[in-house]
Amino acid sequence: MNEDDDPVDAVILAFLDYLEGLAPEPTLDHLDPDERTRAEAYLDGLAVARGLNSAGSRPAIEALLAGTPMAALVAPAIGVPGGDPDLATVATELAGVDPRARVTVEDSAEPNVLLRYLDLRARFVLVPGPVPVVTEQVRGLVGRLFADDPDTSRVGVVAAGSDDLATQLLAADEIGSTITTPRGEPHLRWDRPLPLHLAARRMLEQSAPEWPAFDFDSARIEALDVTSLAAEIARRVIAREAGRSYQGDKRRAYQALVGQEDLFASLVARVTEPGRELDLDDETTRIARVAA
Amino acid sequence: MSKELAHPARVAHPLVADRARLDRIVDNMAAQIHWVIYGRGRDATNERALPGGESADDVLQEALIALLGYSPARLKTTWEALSVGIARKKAFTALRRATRGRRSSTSASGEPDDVTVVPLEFTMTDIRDRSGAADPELVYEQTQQQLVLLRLARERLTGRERRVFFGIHFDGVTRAELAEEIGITAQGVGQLYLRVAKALYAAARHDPDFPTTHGVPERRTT
Repeated sequence: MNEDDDPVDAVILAFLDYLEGLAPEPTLDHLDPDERTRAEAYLDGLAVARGLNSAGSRPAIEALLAGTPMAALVAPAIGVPGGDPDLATVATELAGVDPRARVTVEDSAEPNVLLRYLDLRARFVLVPGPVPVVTEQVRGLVGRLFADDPDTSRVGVVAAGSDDLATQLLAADEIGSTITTPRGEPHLRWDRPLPLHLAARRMLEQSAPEWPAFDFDSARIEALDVTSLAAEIARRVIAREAGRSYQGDKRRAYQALVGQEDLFASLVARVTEPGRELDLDDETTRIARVAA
Repeated sequence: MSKELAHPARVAHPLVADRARLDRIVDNMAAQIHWVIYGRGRDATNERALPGGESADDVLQEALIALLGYSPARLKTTWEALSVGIARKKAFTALRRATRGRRSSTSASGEPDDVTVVPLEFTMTDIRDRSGAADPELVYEQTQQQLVLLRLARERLTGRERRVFFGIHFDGVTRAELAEEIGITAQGVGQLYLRVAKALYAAARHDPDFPTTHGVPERRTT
């Protein structure tokens, strides 16, 4: 017997046919005891394997028990090998992530490390333990950081006891109460914790703002000369109206105003003087008479 | 209503003292829960969440708390066997909660629907009964075997082998679908699956974490 005619192989393939609805369930009656044992083990394994989460992994036990009465059971297991990293260590790690970002240690009521890039602001805090478990206490701390600086976009919870500074990044809306929609849509899940530098890099890649290149128009930053502007506008309006095919007094009035634009500019200058009150009807009537 | 824990958290738990064993048990419980809820699942890329938003991780949390709350004095079997029963019970309960009021697509109009532990869509033959009523010890061991196989597959397989093995073995993808996806015949997919599965089982037999008390695909004697 060679590898090609192993009857167990044929049974497995026939079982796959059965699973796919292509054939009835195969029997094992034709197999000898050894072959039957092997075939049953394969098929039982296939039955047990179906549905296992091949693409993911379960949360850590500490994360599963966080905030429950059982949390104290695993709390003593939380250790900090090699001593606590401090915020300076976190700042050093973050500083190497992206040269465009600025990193500072914030010595505030809730000491943290602030990473800034344009208007993206992320704060990182250290929590004890090997995994960044967001307990009620940590959730409160994160909430206070968002409340103290509403411009904060993300808060990173860094596990001080992990070798790679495992970090759970959170947005403000992710620490609020979960709302399940009537349509049964799955609630949003947090991003999985990553080592600090990877978590920061992912955040920058996904959330860093992109500003288009810009420059100031030098012609528009000079002081505005209201009088000149008013004279220019008056000149354009009078020239346009004088050029129209009006008849009688209207035609004569507009034509008489040509060259008198400075009178309007002077009027605008006086109107814009602080505390100056003018009757614009009287003033425009006076200008019309001067022109006539 | 609050329920007093049978085993107060302040008392050291025998499983906590053996962290490696607890990790194995929790891995196994997670597998049991996924098996119950997603035993007919087809798409491993979709987020695994029940209608209503509850996830397998939520169920796992419930199950772990129940396990650690179980008094060692009342234990009449192994923690492993107990964990299988608790995990599956919690998963079925979650599935009932999630599918309450939903009718199977095969139920005739006007007829009662044997709610609620039914898949929402029938796509393939259900093989869960093959191990569903078995001895919890055996189920635990068989699941541990599959978890070792999963770890080895993650470590060793790449590309086409990985897609075929994970697709058929864990995710319930048909050989025809895989054949169309990767550009070989369905027969070729079946042969590739056989070759990879046998190689993985051969490697698993030498893995120290692979339990072998019960049935194992042994090496051919002929």
